[in-house]
Amino acid sequence: MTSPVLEVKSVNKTYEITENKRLKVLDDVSLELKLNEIVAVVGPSACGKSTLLDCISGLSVVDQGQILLHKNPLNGRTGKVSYMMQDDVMLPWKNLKENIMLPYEVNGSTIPPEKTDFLIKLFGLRKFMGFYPGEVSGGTKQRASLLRAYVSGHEVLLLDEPFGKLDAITRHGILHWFLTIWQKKKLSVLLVTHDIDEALYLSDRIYVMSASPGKIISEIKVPFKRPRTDDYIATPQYSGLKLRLLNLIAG
Amino acid sequence: MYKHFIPGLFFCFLLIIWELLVKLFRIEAWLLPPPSAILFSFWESGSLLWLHTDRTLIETVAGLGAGAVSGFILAVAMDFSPFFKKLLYPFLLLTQTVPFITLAPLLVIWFGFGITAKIILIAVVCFFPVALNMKEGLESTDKNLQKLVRSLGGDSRKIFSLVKLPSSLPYFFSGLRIAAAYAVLSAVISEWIGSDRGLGILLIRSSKSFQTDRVFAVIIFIAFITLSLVRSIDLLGKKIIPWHYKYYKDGVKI
Ligand SMILES: Nc1ncnc2c1ncn2[C@@H]1O[C@H](COP(=O)(O)OP(=O)(O)O)[C@@H](O)[C@H]1O
Ligand SMILES: [Mg+2]
Repeated sequence: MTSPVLEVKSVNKTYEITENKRLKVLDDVSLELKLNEIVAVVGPSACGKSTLLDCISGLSVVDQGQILLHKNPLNGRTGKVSYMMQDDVMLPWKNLKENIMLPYEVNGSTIPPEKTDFLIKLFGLRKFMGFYPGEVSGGTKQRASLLRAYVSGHEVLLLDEPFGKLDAITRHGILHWFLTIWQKKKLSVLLVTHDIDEALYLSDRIYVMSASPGKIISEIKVPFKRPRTDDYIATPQYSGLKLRLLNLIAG
Repeated sequence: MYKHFIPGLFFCFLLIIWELLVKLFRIEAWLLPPPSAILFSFWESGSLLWLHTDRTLIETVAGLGAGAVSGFILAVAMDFSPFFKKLLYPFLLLTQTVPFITLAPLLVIWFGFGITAKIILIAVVCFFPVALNMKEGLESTDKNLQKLVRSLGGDSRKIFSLVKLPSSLPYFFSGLRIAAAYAVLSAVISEWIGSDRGLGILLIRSSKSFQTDRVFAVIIFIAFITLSLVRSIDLLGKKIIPWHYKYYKDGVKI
């Protein structure tokens, strides 16, 4: 049994909306991510999935509980994990290439061009490199922001609904790339999604969160062997799991 | 091209009406000169106009520059230090209602009739629109963009240079634009109080000697200078912040 790369231990988070209005978002959330695992987090919208990733990345400070990276408490430090935020955030004054290379710019390091050129082509982003974010589609921005998260280069990758805006063909290509680099680079991935098929296709385990305040109500092991070709979808086991997940999310 | 053609034609039409009415009712030139006389005055007093323009321009540009730079610095300082902001912002808001142009006589007492008093006045007048706009720009920076740079391990200086500064540049330029119009106005008015040179003093002299055609010429010239200054600022803004103009094509967020 490998020890977890990332541990979330009894995390509580409450937002102060106004002085006397408070919103409890995370209620005693615990989970773990082992080396080279893909773990999905599913749950109804506004249950606190993005908040959970914000806390892990250090952007949000937890009220109670701990977040450990290789057993070391993160204590709200940022820049230790790769994080793709939900809204495909791009700096409007930088073109797509500069946006993708932002991790290098922030950390003041030089860019290895051959490596990224290959990825840019694979992501179908080459012809958009000189475009400003305001000039390209949502799907293009989503690919660029996934690439940026990968380029920032940490072994733990947090992805918040990373494939939602892609068309079927691009999505197929990107999922294939994702699974390849995940294995090659031994990445540990925490993936937030509302797409149950996607969770069942990609992940080793699935955590189900309840509606607000977000609580982990179930942990499900995904039994299908990799590589998962289309035939696993046809099994009764698959439809059984899917139904169970749907019921859990619906509450 | 066509967009300007019809209004241009209309403007010429108004000028002709003006010319005809003045001639028809035999209005005295010192009361209301016809457009042709004003045009002639441009030609006649051309060198005089230029002679006085350089002083006014120097005052305007120096004052605007000093005001803009200090307004920018104050806004940035308030952004970095919440204490500084708490301390100074109430004053900034309060002083917004003070017509600083009325300081002109006071500055004359302190600094005399020379160029210093004028530059200081213009700088003070220009300081506020720039400081307030820049402050608003820094505050309205998209939180998600700041989160992005922070998530990559960026500190507050990185957040400033990569996010807050570019994001607030459009605000800075709209402040600068307002300040530019104020700057020319303040230069002219402060010259009225007393000066040996400048368009303001030329205006007063022409008025006192009832050279009304020249008064018109100077007014038009001042308007032209203001317009050119504002245009240059717009062009500079377009060059420095192209994304803003692309992102907001035809005023619509795309
Ligand atoms: N910075 C914030 N301040 C206040 N409330 C917030 C903030 N961020 C999120 N929320 C609220 O917390 C709840 C959970 O949000 P979020 O984590 O984005 O949910 P999910 O990603 O599961 O859809 C929502 O009700 C949302 O409005
Ligand atoms: Mg979310």
